[in-house]
Amino acid sequence: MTATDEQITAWLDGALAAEEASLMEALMDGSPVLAARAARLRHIDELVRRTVPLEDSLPAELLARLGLPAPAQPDAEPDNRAAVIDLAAARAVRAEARSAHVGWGGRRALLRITAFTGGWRVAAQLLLVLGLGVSAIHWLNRPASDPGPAPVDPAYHALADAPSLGAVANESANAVMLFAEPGDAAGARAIAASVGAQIVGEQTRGGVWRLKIDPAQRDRVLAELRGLPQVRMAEPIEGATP
Amino acid sequence: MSGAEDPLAKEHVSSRLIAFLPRLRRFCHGLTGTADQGDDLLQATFERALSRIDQWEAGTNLENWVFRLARNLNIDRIRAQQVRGIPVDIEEAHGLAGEDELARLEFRSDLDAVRAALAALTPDLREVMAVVVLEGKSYREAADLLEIPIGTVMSRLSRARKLVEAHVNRSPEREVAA
Repeated sequence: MTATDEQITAWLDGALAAEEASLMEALMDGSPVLAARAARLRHIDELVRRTVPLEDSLPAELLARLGLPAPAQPDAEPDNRAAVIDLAAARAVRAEARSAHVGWGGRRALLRITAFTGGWRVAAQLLLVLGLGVSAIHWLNRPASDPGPAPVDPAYHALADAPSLGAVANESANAVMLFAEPGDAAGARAIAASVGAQIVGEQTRGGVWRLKIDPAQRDRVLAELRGLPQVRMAEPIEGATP
Repeated sequence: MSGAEDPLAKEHVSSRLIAFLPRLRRFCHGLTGTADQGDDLLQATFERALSRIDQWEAGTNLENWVFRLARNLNIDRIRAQQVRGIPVDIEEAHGLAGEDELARLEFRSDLDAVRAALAALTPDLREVMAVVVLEGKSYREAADLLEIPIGTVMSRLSRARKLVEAHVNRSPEREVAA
């Protein structure tokens, strides 16, 4: 009696019943050819696992794609300021980037913020860590003749332009909004309702509210929101179902 | 009843998802056959999981739920790209064009050969490899996850290993671990 590859693989995977497994082992003992075949198939499995290895962590670039912050680098130059970057510092970076005319190429690689990232502070950190300013995102792409409804901190436009905002968005949200100061849900709903928008779900840990807006009115509604002093950012979710 | 209805529960589940990402990444790589496509699938799966986190049933296996999301998204991706084509018996295909094709191939190493093999496997064969060989799940778990009979798991796994082996046999290393 011999064994098929299917039986051998089942034995290798521990999928044979005890009696069948014992029989297979007995066959192996009596057949160097069969034992070699089993070893060969085990070797193939090992090659597959080496080809598709399990890494301890994800690379920073992939984390950014997922909207997650890169882990702290233990060997990096200690600089506690990096962990507490404030908006003033972020603005300084953005100003520098504006002068350097950072274009769209760097834009999509930036700021893919999700509910898990710790929000705006992480956004600022990512800006610095990646060395890419985002200030130009709004200003470089806004027509010079269009002053806009109000001066808006351009970085917040980047926050909402993150391609992976699916992590912030949900099935029905098609825009996001961030307040200058933390507020409660009732206040957020009232402000949203005042311009014809609807809050969807709960506030993310980063302080972002998801909005559902009539697609035909979205640009107008977002412009009105940006004009409100308490609204720091209001942007559409690219790729969201309007 | 969903498993993540309140914010604290959602945050807990989200943390579990994040901790699970390295394994999910490997699984997605295994499903797609390439690292780049695997990362794209990982991103889509992660975002789908977050957006549907309310649909996960508490008490069920969260990882298997995410694996199913990944698998379904991969199927959608394949359909969208129309790469599945007409179903062909893998043994017949392997015995005809497959051998001819392999005869023309040379790989720099066993790992190159396996990489090419994984990219060449049909999606249903990659699935069983990802679930059983990479994830180490039992045939029963694989059958449940892939919604196929255990016998089909066994036969697909055997075919997949043979095809990978055929590629490795084209490698200059060609060592036989015996």
